[in-house]
Amino acid sequence: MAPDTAGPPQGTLDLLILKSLSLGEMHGLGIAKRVEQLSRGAFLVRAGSLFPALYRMEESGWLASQWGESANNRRAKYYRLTALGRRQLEEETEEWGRVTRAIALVLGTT
Amino acid sequence: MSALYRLASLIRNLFHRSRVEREMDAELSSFVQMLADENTRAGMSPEAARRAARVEVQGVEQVKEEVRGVLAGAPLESVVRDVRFGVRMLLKHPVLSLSVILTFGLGIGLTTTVFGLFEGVFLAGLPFEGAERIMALGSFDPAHDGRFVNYVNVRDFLDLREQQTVFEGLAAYAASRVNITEGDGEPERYAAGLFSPGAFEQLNVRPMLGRTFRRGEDMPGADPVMVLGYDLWRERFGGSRDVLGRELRVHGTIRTIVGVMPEGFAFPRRERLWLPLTTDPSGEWRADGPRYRVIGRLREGTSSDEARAQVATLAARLERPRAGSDRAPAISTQPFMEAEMAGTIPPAFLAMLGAAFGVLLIACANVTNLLLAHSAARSREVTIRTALGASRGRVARQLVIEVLILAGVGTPLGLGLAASGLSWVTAALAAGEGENVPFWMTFGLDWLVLLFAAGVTLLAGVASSLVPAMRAANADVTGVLKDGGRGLSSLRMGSFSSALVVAEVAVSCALLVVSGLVIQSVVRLNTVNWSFATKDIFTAAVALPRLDYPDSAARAAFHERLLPRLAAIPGVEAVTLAEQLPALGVGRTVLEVQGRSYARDSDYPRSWFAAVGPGYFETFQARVLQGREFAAGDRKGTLPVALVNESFARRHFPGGDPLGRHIRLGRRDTTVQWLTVVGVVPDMCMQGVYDPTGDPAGFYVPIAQSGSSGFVNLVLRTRGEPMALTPDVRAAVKSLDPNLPISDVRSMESSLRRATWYYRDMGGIFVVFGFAALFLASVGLYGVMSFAVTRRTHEMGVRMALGADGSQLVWLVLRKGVVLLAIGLAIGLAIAALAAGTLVVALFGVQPRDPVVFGAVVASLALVGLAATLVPAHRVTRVNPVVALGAE
Repeated sequence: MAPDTAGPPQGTLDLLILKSLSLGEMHGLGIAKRVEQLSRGAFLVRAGSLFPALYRMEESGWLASQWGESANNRRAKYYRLTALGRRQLEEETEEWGRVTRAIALVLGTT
Repeated sequence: MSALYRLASLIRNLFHRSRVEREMDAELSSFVQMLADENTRAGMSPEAARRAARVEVQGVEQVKEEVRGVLAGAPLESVVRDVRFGVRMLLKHPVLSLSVILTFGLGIGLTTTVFGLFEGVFLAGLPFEGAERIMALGSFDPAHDGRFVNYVNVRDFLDLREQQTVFEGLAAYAASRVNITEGDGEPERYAAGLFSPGAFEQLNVRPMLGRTFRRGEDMPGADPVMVLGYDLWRERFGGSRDVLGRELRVHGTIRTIVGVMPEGFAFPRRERLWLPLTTDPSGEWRADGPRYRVIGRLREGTSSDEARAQVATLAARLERPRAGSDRAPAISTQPFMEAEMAGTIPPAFLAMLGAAFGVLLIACANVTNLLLAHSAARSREVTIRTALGASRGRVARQLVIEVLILAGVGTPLGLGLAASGLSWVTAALAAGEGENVPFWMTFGLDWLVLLFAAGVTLLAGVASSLVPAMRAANADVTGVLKDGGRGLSSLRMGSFSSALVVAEVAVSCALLVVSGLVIQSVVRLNTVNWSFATKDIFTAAVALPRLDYPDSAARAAFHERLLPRLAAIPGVEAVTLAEQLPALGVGRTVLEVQGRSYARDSDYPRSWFAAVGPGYFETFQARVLQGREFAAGDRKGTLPVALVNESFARRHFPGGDPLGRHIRLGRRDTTVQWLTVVGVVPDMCMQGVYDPTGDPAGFYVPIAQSGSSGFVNLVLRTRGEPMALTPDVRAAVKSLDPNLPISDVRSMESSLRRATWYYRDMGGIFVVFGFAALFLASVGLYGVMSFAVTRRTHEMGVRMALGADGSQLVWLVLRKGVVLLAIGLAIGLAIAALAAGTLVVALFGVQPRDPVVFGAVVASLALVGLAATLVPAHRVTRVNPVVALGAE
């Protein structure tokens, strides 16, 4: 792990988790790795922020979970998106798009 | 949608806590395991791989705590943890917990009882739908200090009823008592409501069977009808549905039953049946016709102000009461309950309210003190928790929660106390006032009272834990820990604790003085020398209906025939009649003594007067001091005579012989004839037990000469149990008139008890308050002193080791207690002296500043206080210096 990696910006962790899970069900470590991988190592998700987010999102009905076997025969809890979670992903993606476009406009970089 | 998920999670988190925890454990350990697996694959040794994984997770426990923090219901969860911890702490200190629970129970119980009384009398109101819209008409009477007097002259009522548009309607009512006979059954006397048609509708009650009164049934000459109350219907007709159309003889008139009211309806007080109130609009009554209570239900959308404005406008246009009088009746309207209760919160009630809150105050002060003592001892636990990172708020909250738990446990205790207190009051009221207690005045733990109890619990809990909690939260962490666990700084008995003890002693001193005065009044009452026989005296009332006995001659004839029959009952030693019984209230009149001149109307003396029959003084075994008492010969047509009592004779005929002198009722323009004084009799408490005047002077006239109203008490003196005469007296009356019941059958002793119930029972309540206060104050004092001694064990040990002897040490401890006690007593006496003045109405023959009571209270409080101080002080002498120095 590169020392210059950091957690994702405030408020984007949910979006990153939802996005990772849109490709299929995954356990906690898998999600952390996927975020790291998708961001090319820019974002590192620690357990201390990952699990609270997962539990909160599950309680909100965006995720569902069930226990299964990992590739290495470890029991692990697998998360997947629910219909509600998919809608949330769409909404947040759209919102993110609007926000980044607006910020880009403000900064005059386009 | 999301909210629903959260709710489901909340329930799961709260009720399946362990499953949630287990899952979290499993998931995190699998996470760590998989991380380790990866590290192994990257070439680390299994051990190094696991350690690296743990380091990366940065503490499994912290992660779990983070997760717990986001779970639904997390704030609630932490309170639940505090409660659990609190319960554990409390179970560890059972004596402290129990004393706090008992203290709270007592305080909450007494305040809730008094509130229950208050609610029943002033807040509950009429149990009818929309009862808040029922208004009463009346006027602000200058003769009654401008208070609202809810009576309206009948002609004004009839006019207003036609003209007004703000009420659904107006209806008048009155209360009376009537004799009822039905077939061969025993005649009985019942309380009856006289209702103008529409009164039931204004109250919004419908009959259970049949109908109520129709318009026109209030006119003279209308078909006589009546409506039965539920209880009467059950008692006399066995709840039979075909009662409608049946006839009853009511006070000399045969009436047809047209309806039955539902259970629980007894308006206005405890009426058992209802008759139409006959109002004749053609009567010439404007000036001094009868006055009735008048009610109306506000129309939907009309405010009471609008109603008041219209009533005032209409009243101003009403015909003047007398020709030439320029003052129209100033009629106004008030919500029914306000009118009914206007200005009647008696001072004794306020004193009771004050006493209850006084007890609660002592209870709270006690708890605060116990907690302060205890929290000082607990300061180590608290500081350790603080040092370990518990926030100050959390520490304070913990303490408040603990006290609230105790208050909560004490509440059912208090509610039990309140429930039994209220049922006791209900019983006392029923026994003392009977039919005078309005049917809607009920006392019990209804939702409002429960709400109040909950409020008091919360208030008491928070109030008594606030200061200790603030102290705990601000505890000096390093100071206590450095102190080697002794925590001297926080163990010093603060001036706050001392102030609380002083306050407790003061309040309980005031309460005890009040209850002492009341106790003395009850003792006076029980030992009062009535100056007339009360034992072996039977009394019963007979009321002659005007229809059957139209004039005073007919009534006198009945009485004359009845007396010998009563005298013939076996065991009867003497018999007489009396319109009023001694000590139970007589009339008061303006009179004129012949030969005196009075410049102004207000110069005419006033005096008590009663109408009694022949043999009255002999029956009550009161010696006639001069002259003779009334005899059978004092009747209509013979010389009008009077008897005066001793006080009367002294006042109006000082130095002279009263016999042969003349007095008469009324002022100079009266047409009443002069009465010749034929005897002087002893004072027999004509002023009654609730004497507002302090004046015992009075005179008597013969019933036969006074134009009897038809209502008399039969008085029989007997050997043995007076109540055993009841069937014989009933039979004697019935033998003369089969429709005539006897009512109010009592022994003179029980009548006197009834008349004095208020003193007795108010007394009982204050005695409870006083002893509760004494108990709590002594517990409080003991607790504080005992703690002070324990906390100073170390110091005592040092002093002892340095050669101080036992008595010196005892005095050291005692001194503090004595000073607090003395200050408290001084303040308490001052409060008591002020409070006692307002209590004078609840006292029978006791001066509110009675020195005996004040002295006794000071002595007993000082004694109890000293004992509470001495016991812990004595413990000092048994301190073993060696143990003490190593103690704590």
